[in-house]
Order: sequence, then structure tokens, then C-alpha cells
Amino acid sequence: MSSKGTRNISYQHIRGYDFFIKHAQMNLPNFSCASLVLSDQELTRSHGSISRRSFLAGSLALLAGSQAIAVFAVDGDKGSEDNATPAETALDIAALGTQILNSDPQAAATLEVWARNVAGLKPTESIDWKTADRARERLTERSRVAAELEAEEILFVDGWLLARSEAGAAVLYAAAQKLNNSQSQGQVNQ
Amino acid sequence: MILNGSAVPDGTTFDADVCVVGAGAAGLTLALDLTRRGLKVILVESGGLQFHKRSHDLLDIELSGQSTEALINGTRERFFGGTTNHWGGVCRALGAFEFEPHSWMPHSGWPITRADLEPYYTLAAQLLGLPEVERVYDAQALGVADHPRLVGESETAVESTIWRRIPVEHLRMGQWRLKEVETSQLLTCILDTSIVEIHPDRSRERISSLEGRTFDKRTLHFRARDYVLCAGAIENPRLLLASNSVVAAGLGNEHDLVGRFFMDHPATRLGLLLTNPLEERAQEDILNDSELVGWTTTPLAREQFKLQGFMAWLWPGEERPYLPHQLAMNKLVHSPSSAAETAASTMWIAVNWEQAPNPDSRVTLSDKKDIFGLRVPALHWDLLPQDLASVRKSSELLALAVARSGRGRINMDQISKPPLTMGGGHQMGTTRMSNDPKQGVTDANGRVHSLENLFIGGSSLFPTGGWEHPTFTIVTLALRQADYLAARAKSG
Repeated sequence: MSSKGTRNISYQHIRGYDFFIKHAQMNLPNFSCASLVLSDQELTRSHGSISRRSFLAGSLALLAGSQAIAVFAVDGDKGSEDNATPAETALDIAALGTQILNSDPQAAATLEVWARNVAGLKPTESIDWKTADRARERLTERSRVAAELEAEEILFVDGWLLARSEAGAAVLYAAAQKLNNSQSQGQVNQ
Repeated sequence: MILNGSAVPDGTTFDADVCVVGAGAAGLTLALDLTRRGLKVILVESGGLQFHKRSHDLLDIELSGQSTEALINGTRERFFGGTTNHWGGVCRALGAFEFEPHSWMPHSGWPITRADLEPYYTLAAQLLGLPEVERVYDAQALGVADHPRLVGESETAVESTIWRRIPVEHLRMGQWRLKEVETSQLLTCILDTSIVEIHPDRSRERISSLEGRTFDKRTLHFRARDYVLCAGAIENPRLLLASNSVVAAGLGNEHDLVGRFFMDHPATRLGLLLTNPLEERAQEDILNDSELVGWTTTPLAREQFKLQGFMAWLWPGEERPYLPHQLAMNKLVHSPSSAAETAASTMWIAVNWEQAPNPDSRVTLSDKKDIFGLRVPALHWDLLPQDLASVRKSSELLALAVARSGRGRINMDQISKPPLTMGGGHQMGTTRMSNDPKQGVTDANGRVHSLENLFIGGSSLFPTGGWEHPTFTIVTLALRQADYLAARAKSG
């Protein structure tokens, strides 16, 4: 993986795939290095045979993925340092948390208590975007999430599987958004 | 030898040891294997050597329940080679577990076991050009032992699996077996001739002849010691039900089972897989996986959670929408420390699943008639609540396994969106096998219980569908049936 917004994948050799590479270059503005081509030898290496058509389809799918990379790269840099204008990611996590709150308020309240405890937050402490970010880092430590997945401490939200701590982090972001909204409302009222 | 029905004088009667109806995967395999054993065979095919609208129009059908045009249209072919004319060539033998009765699936259980089919699977693999019956997912042997895997080896509920594609030259059975049919001294293939009635004799325990009609309205007769219908899971019951001039309920229908238990492998998108930033080799692995490797629920999980068969695979190449909460998941799951690491890619995951046998999903006859005066089939097909619950739970198990691998997350929002299914094009079950005449139309050899010399071939024999693609088992059953019919002919 190279610098943000681009993807460099080694170019081994192309035989007859030029059209697809050109297509990617023309249609994907953030695509900088036409890529992903495997030798015939590699194609047959592990599974004996693979149809050219599906390989090409797969190549295009992967190339198209570079668009998504650009989106993430730009947003990923932003973070939530500025409490007044949260990153799009933070709002997205907050929306996920709001869904959890709306689907089962009682369970969500229990989850928030648990998440605050794990993140070292007081039960009544107000949560801004920065606090939510710090809590997320603590809650979603790899080992914790892995243990929860192993123990099947999970829930499904909008089609996504979340470990308990990930869901807890989302609920805390929802709290941050609530605070942000009420502060904004207060400024408008003044 | 190949003849066109329209080139034969009206009223001609053909005689043979065995008469086979339908030149698809089952019929061609059976007919040619019988001639190899010295039997004289007539093979009657409704279409010609190539696709033609007039024979295709004979596939007219009325649909109800959750049957849709998309479920049926384009899934059947009415010409030499049958549905192998569009077959994808994917092969996988039914696992031993699929033959067993399952307490959570009423009407499940085959009258034969995997062991009974084992020698015939080997023969079918040889016939179709497969190097072996099945390939086990062995990361070491596949050369991907050091690749990250979407489903880890320690998982007990979901496992990686492989299915094979047959060589391209063996894909269109009507093409690669044509010369054998043309040059056979023992096989006569009559094209463009549709069977319109199966005639029982006075005892009503034996078939005395089949009546065929050509497009120019000639009537041909076929007489044999044994008869085998290999016309597919919709046309087989249709022919039995429509042959009602002597027995009003149709042939073999003493227990009102003909046409019931229609099954498919419903197929749908599960959702999108959001992967971690992958190393180059891992990406390569996923692309290769998308062709031949997928995931199934294990027998252990199916017993524990009372699940039906399920398989999932990556489906690259289609436009992928931006997912709801994709940003959130990316940050929650991947905890990016740098911009580059926030990159993620998505791919569709598609699933096929097994339906529980449902007597109310059935083929009957509509009031409409085709150009030969034969009543058009009506298909009523429904999914049961347990079908939906099963695919949902199976999908959750897969989602959990993928999350545990640390490779990404699956968004399952598609599984609950209508239209739920596109159909799998795997029609099965309508003349199911059972040792009990009250539970199945045919016995373990595919013989219609109430008729001494009428047999069925193809996937309409399947009591359950498993998760595996059916054609390999269709060919296997045909080879087994050829063995049986040859032995039967020998014993007189």
C-alpha cells in the first residue's frame, strides 16, 4: 500500500488485459498504478484452473476498490480533534450508536454503563468527540474484541456484526453527538 | 444414430430394450452407458440439436406462490444436451451428511447412502474429466498455507470448501457426446419428438408404450422393456400427471406425491464483505478463492443449530454500493493509525441454501394446453419460515467466523431485502426416492413404486438437495441406474 488515495500492486505481466487496465485508468480518478495482474502460472498455481472471465471481473472489482480507498484516506486523516466539527467518521459511528439506542433503549443504557466503566469514564461524565475517540481506542483494543468475538459477545446492527465493545464505543459516540447537538442548539438560542 | 421425428413415417413404432426420454445430463449419460453394456436404446428428445424457439416454447409454465419468472426462465433448455447447454460445470459430490435423515427437516433422508454412490461418483468424475471426486481444502496442498484466510482453520461452525469445474471440453454434453450418439449401433436418438402420453397396459402395473408427437403432427410409438423419464424436475411429474387416460390421478400418483416437494437452491446476495487492508498476496488469494473456494456450515453446526445446507462465496465484478455505516465500521474494526491503513475494499458475498422438503411446493397441471394438447405445468413454490431462519443463522455464523479471522466484516443487510431469491436453477424433488411408497414416488433405483418398468432419472429423484450443485450427482445416479437396468435386463 502506498501513500493515501493510491494503491500500488506489483505489475507482473499483462497479457490481453490492457483493455481492463485502460478502463480502470479512465474511470477511476484516484487510480494511479494499474495493477493486479497475475501470471498464468500463478493463476493455476493453487486451484488448477480459473476462468479468464471471472479473473478479469475480479481484477476490475479490486481496481474499483481504489475509489473507496481515496474516500477513507481523506477522512481517516481528519480525526475528531475539533470538537465543534466532528469528522464524518465520528458522525457515522454516532449514527450507528443511535441505531443501537433506538432498537433497544434498555439494553443500550446497560451497554453505555459498561462502556463508560471500561473506558474509565464516570457514569455521569459528559462525552465530547475527543472523549469518545479516546474511549473507542480503549474499547476496541484488538485483544478485547478478539476475546468478545470468541465468547460470542456480539450483536447485529443494520446488518453489521459488532463485538460488545465496538457497540459500546458507538453508543458513546451517540452520546457525544447528543452533547454536540445540545451545545449547538444552545448557541442558536443565545 | 440420430433421426428427426419428422423424417419418420407417421405411425412408426420403435422397439428397444430401454426407452429414455430427454437427452440432458441424465438421459444422455444413461442411454450411452446402457449401449456400452450391449443394450438397445431409444432416446427421445423434444428439441433438435440446436436451440429452437418452437421447442423452447414447450417449456411454458404457470407460476404461483414465490415462483417468479426469474426463478424459472432460462433455467431449462429443451434441446439435445438439455440444461448442460448452459451449465457452469461446477461439481461437488453430496456429502455423507446430506443422505441422512435430519430430525429438524421433515421428509429428509435418502434411501441410499454416500457409500452406495461412491463407485459411481468415481466413474462420473472420470467421465467428466475431473482428476478426482472431490478436493479437500488443504491450505498446504493448495499452496496458500501462509495466506491470511477469511475463515480460520480453528472454526468449527463454518469451513472453507472447494468445488471443481469440469474441463471446458466436457461442459456441453450435447456437443462432446454427439459423435458417440451418431455412431452408436445400439442407440437411436429421435429428435424433435415430444412424448405426450405414457400408456400403461391392462394390468396398470406395466408401461406398454410411449406416444410421441412431432412438430408436423406425426405420431410415433416407442416400445421397450423398461422406460426412463429424464426430462427434468418439472417435465417428469408433468408427464406422469398428464398420462391420465387410464388412471385419472396420473401414473405413480397413488399417494398424491407426484409433483410435490419441488425444491431449488435459492440464491441471493448475503451482503458485502468489508475487508481489512490486505497484503497483495491476500488479495490474490481472495480473487482465486472467488472462483472455486467458498464456505459452508459444518455438520456439527447444522446439528447444533438445526440448519439446512448453506454455501457462500465471493462474487467479484459487480458494482458495489457504498455501505451504510461503512466509515463507522472501518474505524471501529480497523482502528487505523495512519491514512493508508484506513483503506478497505468490499466484495459481494453470495449464498445458496437448501430448502426443507415442502409438500405444498409442487408441480400440477394447469388448464392451459400446449400445441400438442398436453396440459401446461403449474408450479407453486414457497419458502418455509424455517428456510429463512436457517439461511439467516448460517449467515450469522459465517459473519462471526470472518470477524474472528480479523480479516474484515460482512454486512448482511441484503439477506432480508426483497426479492429474497433469484433462484438457483437447480430444480429437484418432484418424484423423490423413498423405500416407502407413501413417502416417495420412486424406490432407491428410481423405479416408480406402482409400475414394474417405469423409471425416473435426474434431480427429481432427490429427496433433499444438500448445498452441493446437483449435476454431478445427476450424472452419478444415471451411471448407477444404468448398472441396475443392465443387470435387470440380464436377469430377464
